[in-house]
Amino acid sequence: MRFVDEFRDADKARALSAKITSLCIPGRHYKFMEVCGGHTHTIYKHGLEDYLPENIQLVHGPGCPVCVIPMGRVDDAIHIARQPDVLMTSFGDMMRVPGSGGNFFDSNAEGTNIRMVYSPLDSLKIARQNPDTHVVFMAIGFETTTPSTAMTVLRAAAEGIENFSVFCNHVTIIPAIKAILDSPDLRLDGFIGPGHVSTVIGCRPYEFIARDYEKPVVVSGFEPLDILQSIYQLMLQLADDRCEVENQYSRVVPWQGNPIALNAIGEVMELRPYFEWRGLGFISHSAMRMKEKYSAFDAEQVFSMPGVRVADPKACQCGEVLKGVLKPWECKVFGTACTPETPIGTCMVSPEGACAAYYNFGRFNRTRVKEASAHEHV
Amino acid sequence: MSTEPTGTGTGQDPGHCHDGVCITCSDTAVEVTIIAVHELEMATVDTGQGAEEVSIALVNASVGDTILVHAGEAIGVVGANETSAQEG
Repeated sequence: MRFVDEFRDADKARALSAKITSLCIPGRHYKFMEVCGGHTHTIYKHGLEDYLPENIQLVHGPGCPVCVIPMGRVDDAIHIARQPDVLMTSFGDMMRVPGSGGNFFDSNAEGTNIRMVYSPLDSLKIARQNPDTHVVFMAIGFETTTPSTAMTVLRAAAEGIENFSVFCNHVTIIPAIKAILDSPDLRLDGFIGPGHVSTVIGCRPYEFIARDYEKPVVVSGFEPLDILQSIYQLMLQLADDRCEVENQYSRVVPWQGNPIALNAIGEVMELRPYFEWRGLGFISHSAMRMKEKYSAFDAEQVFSMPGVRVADPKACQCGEVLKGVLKPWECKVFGTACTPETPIGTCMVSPEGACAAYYNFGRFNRTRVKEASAHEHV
Repeated sequence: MSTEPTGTGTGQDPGHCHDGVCITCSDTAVEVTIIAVHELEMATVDTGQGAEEVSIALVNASVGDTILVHAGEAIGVVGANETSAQEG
């Protein structure tokens, strides 16, 4: 299959692995963050760490959209769903994200009508089919899904649909990366840049990372060879003492992004002054809200919102995992009280979440054994 | 993108979508080929496991093109500015 088989060739992976290893300076440790949860998923699904020398460590970033939604926003969504004649729609992954009083499934058991959809367009379709019900779309995601929400609002406006609104929780990746760069907890050597977010925003927004923080960035595709080649390009930059933004995923990502999508977002939405991220706290200008012009489609304007901030459960260490400070298995409840079936924290909910990726692809056992033997030698 | 027949709003568990990949941002660049273009900038695409209808309002694409779809919206055309990514 084009773009798939050719990027999963084991011989080429081994060749890349050898080239990466040849660039390692003995005694030096390298720490690269893969920003996007999709990359985390690929790394563990295909066992890419096994292709890397031990002194290269991959750190998982905050780029899982479900994982960064704070509990208070889940509670707000359930509050909207409890209003009379309201039908809430949501991506499947959000259904199991716990709020302070349970998740969307629990809420449905108590009488709300929260349905899973694949896209906001499906939500709009439900609104057309149910003119006596107000349909709210629980919008989450980075710049990959924001264009879809924006276009759906534009379609709803063009059609004059009055029983549809969006509970907007879209976030933007650049402020989160900056928050991580400013965090004293973590020292990184470079970034594997998000691929599909960059399809929309392009590569230029990452230039400050190379210029101001002197860290290399390689925007990467999602196949195993994409990620290995991106690591190779990062190592080459470090070996050459360069800090640049490079586009490994040029077969999909235009350097300037998708201007039509950016215009659609700009027409419908604007930056919020601040937004709370799970684990990262409040980050200024890091999320989108509906513009006043489209307030009829803004669930936060249509309904009164409690907007109460809810602290994460004490046992949950998703914040440290999202910042890359802790490995998933180092969390006290990983794999015991917190599993994909009964998640306590968001990182265990989505397959893109670092904890779920570790849990599903067996890193739990391997890493524990490795660490145990390491401790024995201390 | 997901290749599950979703979007029906039936309340059934979507099973985390195709290939265990997150439904939210559909991180795997599975090729989706346009097989028909409709009015209102919609298109029918071949996902390899069936046909789906998606929006192509944000891309310049036509029948036969491979597009990258997120949450029902095409955000890029695969291979449009292709250069070799396998030089390593």
